[in-house]
Amino acid sequence: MSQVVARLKRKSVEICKVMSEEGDIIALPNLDDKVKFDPHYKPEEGQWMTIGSFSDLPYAIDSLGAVINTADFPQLDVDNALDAKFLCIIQGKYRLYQRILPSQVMRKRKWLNASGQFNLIEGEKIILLNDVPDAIHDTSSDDLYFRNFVALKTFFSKIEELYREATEEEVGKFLKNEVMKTDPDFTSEKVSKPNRQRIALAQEKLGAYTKQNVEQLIQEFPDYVKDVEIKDGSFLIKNDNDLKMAIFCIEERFYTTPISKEKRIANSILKIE
Amino acid sequence: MLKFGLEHLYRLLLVFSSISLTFAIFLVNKGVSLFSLGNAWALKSLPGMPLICRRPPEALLEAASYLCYFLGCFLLSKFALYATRWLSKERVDESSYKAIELTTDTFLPIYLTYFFVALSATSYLSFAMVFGVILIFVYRSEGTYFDPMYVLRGYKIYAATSSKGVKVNIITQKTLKGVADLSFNDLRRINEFTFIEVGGGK
Repeated sequence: MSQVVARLKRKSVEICKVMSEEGDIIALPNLDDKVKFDPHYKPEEGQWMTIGSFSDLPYAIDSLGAVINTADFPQLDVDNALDAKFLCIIQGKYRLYQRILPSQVMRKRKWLNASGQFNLIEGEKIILLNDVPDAIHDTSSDDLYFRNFVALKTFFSKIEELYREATEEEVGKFLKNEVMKTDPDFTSEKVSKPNRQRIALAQEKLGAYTKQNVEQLIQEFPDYVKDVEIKDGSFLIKNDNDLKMAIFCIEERFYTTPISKEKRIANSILKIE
Repeated sequence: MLKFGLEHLYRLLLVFSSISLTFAIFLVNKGVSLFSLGNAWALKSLPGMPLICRRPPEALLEAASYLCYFLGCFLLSKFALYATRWLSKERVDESSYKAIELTTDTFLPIYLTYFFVALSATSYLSFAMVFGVILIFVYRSEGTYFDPMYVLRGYKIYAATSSKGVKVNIITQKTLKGVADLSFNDLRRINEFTFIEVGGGK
């Protein structure tokens, strides 16, 4: 038996019960190809990222635990159904979370029913389900599987702390760092969203370096990046891309292969344990 | 849309069944005997029928009629129980409830008051009015759908406090004397605060 529950867009409303179904609603995807979540790592096509011991994390407060009592949830009114923010399908020990994007909601579309006799259908409200959910919580092993971190924010509002953007203050502080020399035109407002996320991760690493570490990194930097100038032992940042390169340098993403001596940049990092 | 409408209809049926006993009591109180009326009509318009000629005693006809009213209520409650299979199913895992309490006793006096109303109604019209008002109020208040007839089938009504602290009514044949290993697999939602498990064993 599977159950569908939903949360509405309005924050005050708790999880509502949608419906129940005798069998499974969606087939469980193959979860074998998985990698532990790391913000530096970009998953491959079809690969899952996992967060272990999920229900113990403070971000899991909005999640549906192992014990389900759907009798405790109010019934979702069909009039409000299209305001749902996400659905969660409860299938045995699995909780399958799915966002409801505007493209998945049909309000006024017309379509032809092509099963049996053709007939025109209009005015029906429809929510399309994806075959692959955005996140899967296995409550027996307590692992959370997902492919796109951004989607998780819809389900667990506080989870972005795991991969957050640097605050305005942190960005300002980072740009005023002694290894950074910013062009007067390049102010902290011009820092893009991905770079803000990178700053949040890199600032810690930079703080842990010794002076010699930083000198070594900056010394090797011109071997890899030609168009970012180094002036008096610091990066000269003129635009957002220069900043990205400087952060990559701090994160030790530039390397040379041992045999062919090819110079490379690591677009994605997976730590080998 | 249609399904949603049907669910309202089921609930109306359940309420109707739960207060239908007042209708039977009203008819008994008024001394309306369908069989006697039928018999009188048959005597007048169907002469020569062998069964009629035996002229069953009036008291038997009356008793049979009254029994039929209650049988009607019983069948209606059976149908109402059958109809719950179209209601939405719930999943209630173990340790979902922290307290449970038998409240069957508190519901029976409510029905007694309905019976008194039925006994004091003077005409069909006044009874229809009162019946209608009770029907609407019970339906709209979403209070209880507990049919006194369920008692005859061994159903009990419990007030269960969930782990979130919300109290709901659960109608079941199970004898519940603990919450630790309590779980339901076939619990149906009648309304936000009333749930029923048909069958389900002991």
